[in-house]
Order: sequence, then structure tokens, then C-alpha cells
Amino acid sequence: MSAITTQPAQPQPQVDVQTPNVLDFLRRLWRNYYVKVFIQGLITIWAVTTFTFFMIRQMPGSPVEAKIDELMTRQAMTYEEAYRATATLFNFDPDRPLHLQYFDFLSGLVRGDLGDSITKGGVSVTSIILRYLPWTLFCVGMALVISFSLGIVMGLAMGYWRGSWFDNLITTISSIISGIPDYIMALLIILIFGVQLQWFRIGDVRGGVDPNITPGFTFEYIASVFKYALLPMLIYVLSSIGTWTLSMKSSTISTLGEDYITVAKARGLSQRRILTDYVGRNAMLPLVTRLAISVGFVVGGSVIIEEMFQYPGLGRNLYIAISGRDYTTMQGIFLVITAAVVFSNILADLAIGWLDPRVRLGKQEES
Amino acid sequence: MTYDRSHVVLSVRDLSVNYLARRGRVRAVSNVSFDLHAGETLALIGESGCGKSTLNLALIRQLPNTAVTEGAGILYTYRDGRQVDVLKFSDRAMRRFLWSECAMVFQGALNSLNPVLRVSDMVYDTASAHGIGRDEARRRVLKLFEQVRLDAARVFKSYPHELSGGMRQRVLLALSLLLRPQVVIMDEPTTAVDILTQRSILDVLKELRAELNFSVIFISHDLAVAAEIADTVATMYAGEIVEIGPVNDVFYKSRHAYTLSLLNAAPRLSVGREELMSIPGSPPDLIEPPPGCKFHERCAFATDVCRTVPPPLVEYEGGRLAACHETERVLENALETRKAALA
Amino acid sequence: MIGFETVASPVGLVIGLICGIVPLAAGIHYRRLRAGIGGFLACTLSGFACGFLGGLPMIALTYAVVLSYAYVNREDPFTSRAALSEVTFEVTRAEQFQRTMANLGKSLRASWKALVRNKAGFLGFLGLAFFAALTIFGPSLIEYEGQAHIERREPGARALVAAPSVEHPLGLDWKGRDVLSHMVHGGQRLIITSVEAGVIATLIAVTLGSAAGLLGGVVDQILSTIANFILTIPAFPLLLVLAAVVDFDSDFMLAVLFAVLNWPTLMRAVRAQVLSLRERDYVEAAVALDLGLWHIISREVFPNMVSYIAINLIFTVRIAMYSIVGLVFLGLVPLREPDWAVMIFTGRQQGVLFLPQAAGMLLSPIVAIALFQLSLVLFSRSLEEIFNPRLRSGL
Repeated sequence: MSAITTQPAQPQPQVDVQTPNVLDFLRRLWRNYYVKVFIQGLITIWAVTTFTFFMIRQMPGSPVEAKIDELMTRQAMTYEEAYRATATLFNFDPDRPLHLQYFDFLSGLVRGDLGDSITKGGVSVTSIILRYLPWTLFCVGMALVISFSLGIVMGLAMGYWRGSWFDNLITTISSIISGIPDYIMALLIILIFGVQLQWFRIGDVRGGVDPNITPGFTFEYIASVFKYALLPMLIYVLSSIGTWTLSMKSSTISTLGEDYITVAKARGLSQRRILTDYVGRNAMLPLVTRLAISVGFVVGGSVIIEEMFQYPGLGRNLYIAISGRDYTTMQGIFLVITAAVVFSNILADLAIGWLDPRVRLGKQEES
Repeated sequence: MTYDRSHVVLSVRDLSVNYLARRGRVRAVSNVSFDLHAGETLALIGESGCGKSTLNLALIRQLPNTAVTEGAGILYTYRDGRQVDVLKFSDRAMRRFLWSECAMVFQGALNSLNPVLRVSDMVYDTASAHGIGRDEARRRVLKLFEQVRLDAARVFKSYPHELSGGMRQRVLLALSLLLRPQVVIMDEPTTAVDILTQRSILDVLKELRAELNFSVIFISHDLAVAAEIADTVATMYAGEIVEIGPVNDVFYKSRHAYTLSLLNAAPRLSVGREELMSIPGSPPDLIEPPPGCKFHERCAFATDVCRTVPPPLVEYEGGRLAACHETERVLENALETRKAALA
Repeated sequence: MIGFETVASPVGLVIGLICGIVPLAAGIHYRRLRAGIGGFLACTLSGFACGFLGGLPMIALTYAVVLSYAYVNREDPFTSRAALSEVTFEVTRAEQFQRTMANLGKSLRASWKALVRNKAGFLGFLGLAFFAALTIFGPSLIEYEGQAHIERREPGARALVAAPSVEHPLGLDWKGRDVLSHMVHGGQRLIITSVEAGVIATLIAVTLGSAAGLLGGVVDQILSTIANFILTIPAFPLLLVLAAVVDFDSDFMLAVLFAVLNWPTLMRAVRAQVLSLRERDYVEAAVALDLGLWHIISREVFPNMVSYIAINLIFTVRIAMYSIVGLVFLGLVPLREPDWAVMIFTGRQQGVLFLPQAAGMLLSPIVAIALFQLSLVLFSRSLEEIFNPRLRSGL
């Protein structure tokens, strides 16, 4: 955050433009805040990817070993035969030295190719990601939007009418639900409302959409998508809304103590105007950063919740890939999640600069 | 300065403010009464925590919920002669009254402007809350900005953080006059700025006052500033007005021991050799105030009467009021000090 | 971790009773019988629970409390009844010790008052005390049922799992075992592992954070880069991977693994705090006096952050429990019974999730984990008041 300044941006010092050369150009490019942040982000992604690449290959057991064992016992192959058969089947050569595998991966990555899944023969990792990512984005993203906006509105009201019955009630509820882990809440809801009270049939809400409905842009299909996403979404909302509400409440209370609120009241402004443009906008600022950062975690979804509801999202696929030791898929999903986290951090910077005029992103690094 | 003594704009009668604390009632302001005339500038002086700011927030009913305001009335006279009691306003009527009749310039200009809005937005906000069109508001405020010697067009479009402290203070001053109020309350408008800025703000204020003829309640613990700008001075101690009168009388012929102590504690350019005398002790507990005169514990003139009987506010010649048992001795002392200073 | 992992034992009770003699004797000596008896009970209880590890520190604490009622600081001219000329300013060792103890006792009493005053926080404290009692004293009262009981199958029932009855207040699990016995025996390991994880993560974070903040320069840059790096990796998925890589011989390894992944957030906060504290006058004064790094950390910086760190510790314990239960839930760590999380896992795996009579078996660990987490949240509310002397003094 060193490049964020509270002073108006200063004019860029004139670099010698008479003799343009490559080095000079690169230096000036580096001075540009956005370019710099972008490149730093790329480096972070590369580092994390490298780390995970070697880490996941340290996991005991591999899909190949499992398959070789199977072929040797079932089809009475020799180890050599089974080995070769598995290598062709899995499109994966376990003999290839690790560093060469790494360079293969990197060169593929540069071309935008994440390779093929090891356990699902012939399916590219990119297609797996593209197929499952939208489900997670839809479900977790919607939940995030709902819980953030509801939390903001409730927290604002609670802070403004502090000590009212509404404040006390919601503060108590928020404290309680923010203390319960999401999957515990999911189990509670399934057990109490599904099994005991029988408000819904659990079989009806497992998966992403009713398999009997043909996919298409029809009302029936979309309604089914919503119906299946409802429960996981509810759980995401419940498990995160308490934190948003309580943060917004405390932010509102500290904003209400600011002089400009008193001045606004003394100017005879209407309560609505004060609540929105004076209290609300200022109290929201610290939360916007956190919202942008949470956007990065949308992509990862929640492994446990998706697995629990068999929701066809990226988190569940990551779990499947981990248990099946599907290196390439794991690698690809980690890459997507990391990229999302890195870029949402950049997004947070941009968002706060846009909302708060005091924070201006400098065009170049301050000395 | 001269002002119209026949026309009272704001008449405060027996106003008290109590804060409800865990330990008991904090009597922040007790039984304060005064009249503010059209075009008059009343300076309220006193130590920090004497109730000056509470009194002013009470006048515009902006105290927090923990404060209880009681009183016989805050009578306000409109330009057309109608008289109302501010304490009896509904919330809605109060909002209309605020800023259009009685505006306020707060201390700490740094935080008085909403950091996420442009100055123009705040002008439009204020105008539309009081039924004034955008064009009219813009025209008025640009003129006022020029009168307070700001680069009107640029400031209008700026965010608060792009302005210096002095500029912000002048923006607030201009903004307070946007709706042409009769009364402007100024809570230490010059404390947070440097001495040159303070000078220019005072000059601007004097010009505007002469041109627009509004009354001012001026809160300050800077006695020099108060002496320069005020017509009338009121000394506050422990929530009470202990002395009030024309500025020269109060400053040169003090009748209350506390006023005299305040003056002796302030540095004066005209006197070089004089020793400054700080007031011993600290302001009294407002939950359980001392018996008798609240100042007796720190007073050099205190006698046995002072320790038991609260002094009544007595009227003296020249429209002066003071609440001191030892007023003659104080006056004598004040005159001697003055003589010594002139010599 | 010897001592904490043993459940209440007769030997512990004897240890506790012996330890309890000290505050009791002190109480009689100073004529503060109520405080003495209270101290005796506290010592007995904690000795019973944790043996020497619980009994010995409790002696110090209870003795301090008893002493604080009776102790008059002769050095303090405001409390001393003796004339100023009679006050000796020479401090004997014994007196120094007594004064330190009395001060400790005073702040313990003030903390307790602050804790009781905050209703939500006290509720959380009671919750934690309940879980401590359940996991420490429960096992000696209720025997653990590890073997399947096929004979308990109801005539005509398809599964062994059964709803609560008089004989088995929380019902039977999928092997026909008493759920209550699993609840009593299955919490200790999970709670201790979570607390260990939280404590280790906090220790790493505080050490590295203070180092980065105080030393600055290259150390700061390296540590901050590592912290940012770990923060970028999605924590829970990485834990899933590492859980497979690391061979779990002990729960302690799991705690360490969690700690290694979860120190950066607190570390960055501590670093920022240290940096801002470094600007304060009293720290600058200490630096100028050349009082040494350790002194500055322990005397100037740490006391100012203790409530923040304590609240974060509780937060980290919560996340640790969340992650550990999650790992078990997904079946990614070796399963060992009895364990609350394993109860949930097997319940799901055995397909009894949808049997109405399995509510006892499933809801018990779920509710227990939820309540434990809730107690932690509520308790952390009152920590601010306990550790902040300014908030505490207004008794």
C-alpha cells in the first residue's frame, strides 16, 4: 500500500525522453503503479503455483501406482506392461524427472494450456474449470452480494439507532451465528429442517440442478438452478452475514462520532440524506476493501459445503482431485484460486481509490 | 461595533443541561440566561470544560441523547417579528430553523466537512434541505467564497482534503452564511489555524458582519481574539455565566474574581514585565459541585461567605451582571492592575 | 503436554488436596477464611484435573488472591498508617515477594470482577468451564464404550442407531454404542489439538511480528514477503494437500501444520502494532535508555498488545477447530475414535444422516462443536475489559 498517498498526485518527474531505449522504457513502465502492481501479482501467482506444483507431487500415493496395482492383479500384467499401459492411459509419464515435468507445465501455462486431467482421460483441465467455475461463481457470489448488502443495511441501522430493540436483537443473533462454522450450520439445517421437520427432501437439493430437466435457457431450468443453489447459498449467507453486520455497526458508530455528522445535522439535512451520504458512505469504506478481498475467495468456494451438497462447483472438484491425486486438475484449480485472490487484492486497492477521494493511487512510487 | 439594543434576536431563559452519567447527573450548564441583540457579537470565555460548547449545542438542540435540556425557553425572533421558542419546535420545524435562522461554525474545520463529498455537493445538500434551487445556491456561495477571499470556482469543485485548514475554515464560514441566518454560532473557529490565517479569518468575519449584519455567539478561550471581535463578553465557570457585560467593562473593570484570574493568566503584548498567574487547581466536579460559590476553592479573594452562600447574579451600572460576593475588592484589584499596566 | 492429557485421577485429587493446604493455611493465618476455603477448593479442583501442572500454578494464584485481601503496602504513604518517618524504604526479599503477590492477587480479583460484569463474556466463560469439566471429569464418571453392541438392536429395526432413551440419554450410534460416552471421551483431543494449534500459531506470529517490527530492514522484508506469500495461497485447500503430505503420527503435528499455515494474519497485525508503538514516547525512551530488545518487547510492547493477542488467539483456536473438524469431515486425516468430528464423519459415511432416530448421534457432536465455538466468541468479548486496566478500574 506504499503507493497510496493521501496527497494529490504529483506530476510525474520527467525522465529523459531524448534518448529512448529499451531500459528506459522498462524503467518508466515499472514506475507506473498499475503496471507494477500487475507484474507483482504475476510474480506472486508464479511463486504460489511453483510451490503448489512441487507440494502436490509430494503427496503419498499417485494415481499411476493405484492403476498399476490394479492392472497387475486383475489382468496379470507384468509391472513393465502395466506401467506402459497406465502411462498411455493416463497421459502421464511418472518416469519423467520432476523438473522436466515442471518445465512442461510452465511452457504449457505460457501458451494458456493447463494440460489434461490425469484421471479423466482426454479431458482438459481448462474445460473442467470452465465447466464448474460458473456454478461456484453463481452460488458463492450471489451469497456474498446478499450477505454484504444486507449486512451493510442492518449494521447501519443498528449503529444509527444504537441500543434499540432492533440493535440488541440483531447483535445477539449476529454474534451467535457468526460463531458457528458453516458446515456445522449446514448439518444443523439438514438435520432439523430436513430430517426432523421434513420441510424439504434432502435428495432434492443435492447436486446443482435437477438432472431430469434438459439444460437450456428455459424458466424451468433456471428455476431449478436457483432451487438447488438455495440451501448452500442460505448457509453461506448465514455464516458470513453476522461478521458484515457487526463490522458495519462498529464502523457506523465510529463514523457517527465524526464532526461532519454533527455539522450535517446542524445544517438541517434530512435524516435520510445524513444516513446515506454522510454516515453510510463513510462507514462503508473500510468494509469495501474487505469485500473486494472476499471476492477472491469466492472462486475457491467452500470445499466442505460443496462436497456436502454435491454441488458441482470448483471446490468439490478440488476435493475430488485431491483424493484422486489428479495433479494437473489440482494444479489448475489452485492457479485459478490464487489468481482470483491476487487480482481481488488489486481490485480492493482500485475500489477504495474510487470511493474515497482522499486515497489516490499515485501514478508512480512515492520516494 | 455598534448594534441595535432594542431588537433582541435570541433570548435564552434559565437554560440548564444535565448529562446522565453512571455516577449521577452532570450539571454541565445550569440556569443560564442572556439576550443576544441584532448585530451583536457575544463572546463566551472560560476554561475547557466550563460548558461553553454544551451551551451552544443546546441552543441548536444537537446534544446527544444522554443530555437533558431544561429551561424556561430559548426565544427566537424572526425578521418579521414573529417570536418562537426553539425548545418547543418539532424535529421537522427544528430542521427548517437550523442553518436558515441559526447556523454554526464548528471548531476543528478539519473534520467538519464530509471527506467523500465535494464542497459543491455539501452546498447543494444544504440548499435543497431548505428549498433553495441549485442555481441560486451556486450563485450565492460563489459570491460568499469571493467575500471570504477564496478562489471561488476552484474551491467549489474541490474535495475537502484538497483544501488547507484555513481554506476549509473559510469554506465553513461561507457555508454558514449561505441561507442568510440572523445568528451564527462560532465554536473556536480560529483555534486550529496558524496566526496569519487567524488574522485573515477575523478580518473577513468583521467585513461580513458589517455587510450582512448577523449576530454572532463567539466561543473562545483566546481572550485577545474575544476582545477584538466581541461587543459583549460573558464569562462561564462550571456551567454558569458568572459575569456578563460590554467587552471593555468586563476586561478592564472585572467584577468577578474568575474573570480577573483568567485575564491575569493570559499573556498581553502591552505589558512586558508582568508575571503570568495561572489559576491553581482544576474546574470543580459537576456532579457534586462545591457549596457556596463554585469558584471559592481556587479563588484568592474567597471569604467564609463564599464557602457557604452561592452568590446571586447582581446587576451593576452599564448593563453589567456579575455573581461575586467580593466584587468590590475584585474591581479594585482590576483597576490597580490596569493602572500598573498603563504606567 | 504431560498432565493436560491425563483425565481426572485419584492421584491428581491427592495432589490437589495437598496443594490446597497452602491457600487454606494462608486464609487462616490472615483471618480471611472465605478466601482461604475458596483457594483450597480451586487448588483441589485444578490438581484433580491436571495433576501437578494444574495444582502448582493454582497455589500461586490462590495464595496471591488471599494475600491481596490482607496485604497493606507499607511502602505506599497513602495506605501506610505509620508516620512517614517510620516508613522504611529498604525492601527485604520477603516483602518484595509479598508485594508482588498481592498486586497479582489484586489484578486477578479485578479481572474476575470485569469478567462477571460482562454478561455475554461470563456466559462464554461458563460455557468453556462446562466443556473443561465435561472433558476432564466426565471420563472418570462415564465409561467409554468402544465395542459394538449388536444385542441392542431393537426388534425389527434396520439399524443399530437409536433415538435417546432413559438408559442412553443421547441415544445409540451406528454400532449400538452409547453416544453419551463418546461425547464425554471424544472432546478432549479435539479441544487440546485446537488450542495447541492456536497457541503455536500465536507464538510464531508474535515472535516473527515483533522481530519484523523491531528489527526492520532485511528481516522485515523477508518475513513480510513470506507472510504475504502464505496469505495468497488459499489456506484450507492447501491444508487438504499438506494433510496428505505430512504423516500424522500425532495430533501435535496437525497442530503444527495448521500453525505454519495460519500465522501471517496475526503476524502482520503485530508488526503494524509494533511499528506504531515504536513511535510512542515511552518506547522511544526505552530505546534511548538502551534497555535491550527483550526488555522492550516484554515490558513496553507486549503489555500493550496483550488483549489484542488474546482475542486473536481465541479466534485462531476457532479457525483451528474449524479446519481440523473439516479435515476429519472430508476423511482426509486418520480417523481415531472417540472424537466428536469422527462421530459426524461416520454418521455421514454410514448413511444415517437421513434417519430421524440418528438425531442423537449426529446432533450431539454438532451442537457441542457449535456451542464450544460460540463460548469462545462470547468469551473473547470480555477479554478486552479484562486486559485493559483502564476499562477494568471503573469497578
